[in-house]
Amino acid sequence: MDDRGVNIDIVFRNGLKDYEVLPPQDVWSNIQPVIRKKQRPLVILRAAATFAVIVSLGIVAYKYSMEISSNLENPVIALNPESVAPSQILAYVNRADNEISQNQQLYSRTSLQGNQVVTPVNTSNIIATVRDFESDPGSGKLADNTARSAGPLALNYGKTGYIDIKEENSLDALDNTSRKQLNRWSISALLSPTYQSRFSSGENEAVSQAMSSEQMVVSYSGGVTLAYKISKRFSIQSGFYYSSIGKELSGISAYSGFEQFFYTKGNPTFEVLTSNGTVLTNNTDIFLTDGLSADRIRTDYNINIFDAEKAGLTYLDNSIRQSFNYLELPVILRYKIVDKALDFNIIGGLSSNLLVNNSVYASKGGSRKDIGTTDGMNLITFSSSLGMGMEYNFSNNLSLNLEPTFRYYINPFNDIPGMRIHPYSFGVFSGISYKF
Amino acid sequence: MSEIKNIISGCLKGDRRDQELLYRRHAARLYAVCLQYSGNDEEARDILQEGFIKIFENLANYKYEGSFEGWIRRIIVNTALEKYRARHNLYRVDDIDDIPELDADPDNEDYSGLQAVDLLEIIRELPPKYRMVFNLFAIEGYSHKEISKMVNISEGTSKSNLSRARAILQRRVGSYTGHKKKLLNG
Repeated sequence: MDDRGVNIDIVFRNGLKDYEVLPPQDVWSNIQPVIRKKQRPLVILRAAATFAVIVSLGIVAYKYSMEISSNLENPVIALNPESVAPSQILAYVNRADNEISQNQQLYSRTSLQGNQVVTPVNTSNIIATVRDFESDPGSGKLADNTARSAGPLALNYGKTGYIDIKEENSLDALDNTSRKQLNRWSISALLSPTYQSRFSSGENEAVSQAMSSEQMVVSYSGGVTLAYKISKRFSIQSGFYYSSIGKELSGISAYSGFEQFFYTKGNPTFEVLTSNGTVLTNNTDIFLTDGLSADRIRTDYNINIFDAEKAGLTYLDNSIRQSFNYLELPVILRYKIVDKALDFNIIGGLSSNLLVNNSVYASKGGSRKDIGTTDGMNLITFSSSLGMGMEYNFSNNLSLNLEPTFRYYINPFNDIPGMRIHPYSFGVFSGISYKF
Repeated sequence: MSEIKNIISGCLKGDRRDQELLYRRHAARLYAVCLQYSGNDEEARDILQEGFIKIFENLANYKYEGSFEGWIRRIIVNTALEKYRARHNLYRVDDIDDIPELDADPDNEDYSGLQAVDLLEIIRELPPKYRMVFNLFAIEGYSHKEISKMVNISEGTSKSNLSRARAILQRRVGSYTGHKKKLLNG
């Protein structure tokens, strides 16, 4: 019996040695979420860290701007009595916090042909040099020591005060550098990585299933804009942006080398159902198979008819990517809520987006193999945007911009029966502006 | 770096493409193993699923000593074993005391007509207790001592189960080949 037993062992061992049976399609789709879920904490951690960095930068920037503004808003104005306009006010920095009350209204007093004119002064962008004063708005009399006081003086007034100084050479030197110019035009170059997602409504079971296997990928958007300052706080902006939007269709394995097989069996076209419409292949060398769903790909070559591995096709990737490029023409309105060295703006606008590239591809080792296009994409879409702009002014002409922006696409990219899918994106645009 | 190292490295970084690539490369071979250890397709699917999750969870522990195929196969076999242990009380060993040993001499039997699919079908018809011992001993190459610890039975029981498994297999292989011969001869 022993020898016979050993023999039967060998029969089974050798007979089953290299035996293979394709598992049901849904096994991988059950494994995938479990292993992905285990990795998710890391993803969440990274997202949280990114968010924390952005918020921290925002807080630091805000505090910095407040610090600057408190320095600037501390009292004191010096006026050139010969001046006829507030723009000729000269500047200086001095603080004597214990004696100067905040938020005092200061006035300039100009003297023209013996008539003194009292004008309210906007202190927000002025650094003042101060001499002593003693005056009353009604009398217009100046303190005797006004012109003789040397160095910064602490002011002590409990009510609205008037400041006056004699013109001095040393102050003239400051004149040109501290004068605030109003540049109405500015040109900006901005670039941002953007995170895409979507809002969806309605019911289409097949598309909903397809959506569960789709991942938005980080895209980019950038361009050049020209802005015109309508008023001190309002400006209007337009230009050109070029943006790329991508989506990864997971679970669809792509193989190349199919050309030598397809003609024997039928139409080589593969149709892949996605939430952006149906992908139609136009590369006859590509074979696609779906490891996650039996319904997503329509083809004459299902897995029971053609086995890519056994046919020796070259494996490219286990996902394919949809890529759309848009040329955007935005019209954006900006409202400046803080006007300091670090400005804060609220940004809102509309864009018309022209589809300039529509492609689907698989990649292997950095090289990209075109597969086809997405059918039925809308050529023009419209999007609205809302954001917060931070603008740090290096000089009168140059500034650095940082603009976290949310964008919502008003009409869908494609018409999906039974569903409305509106993409949205979030990006942090950064760049520089030149004012002239 | 070899291809498998590349794939494992990608899996450890969470690259879904490498994870799926690893799965697709080995799933068919391992599913056959799962079928070999299970009485029905649903159980085989569960073993494959749980086994692959363990493979991905334990990839960092693979030391590149011995073949990777052998390492993942052991994980699948261990998963099958765990499932077997969990269900052990549910299984009822068929009364096979009356199974006669075949007179036929296996050395002279012609098994050439038996395909892998036939062998798999035959082995899956074994009662779970015998199937497990036969698989571990005859296919995986474990000793009775090892099997006794793995399955939590005595060495004697392991030997006895193996013996009975072989007897059943011989009988069924014989009837299978006989049936096939009849079909061929019309």
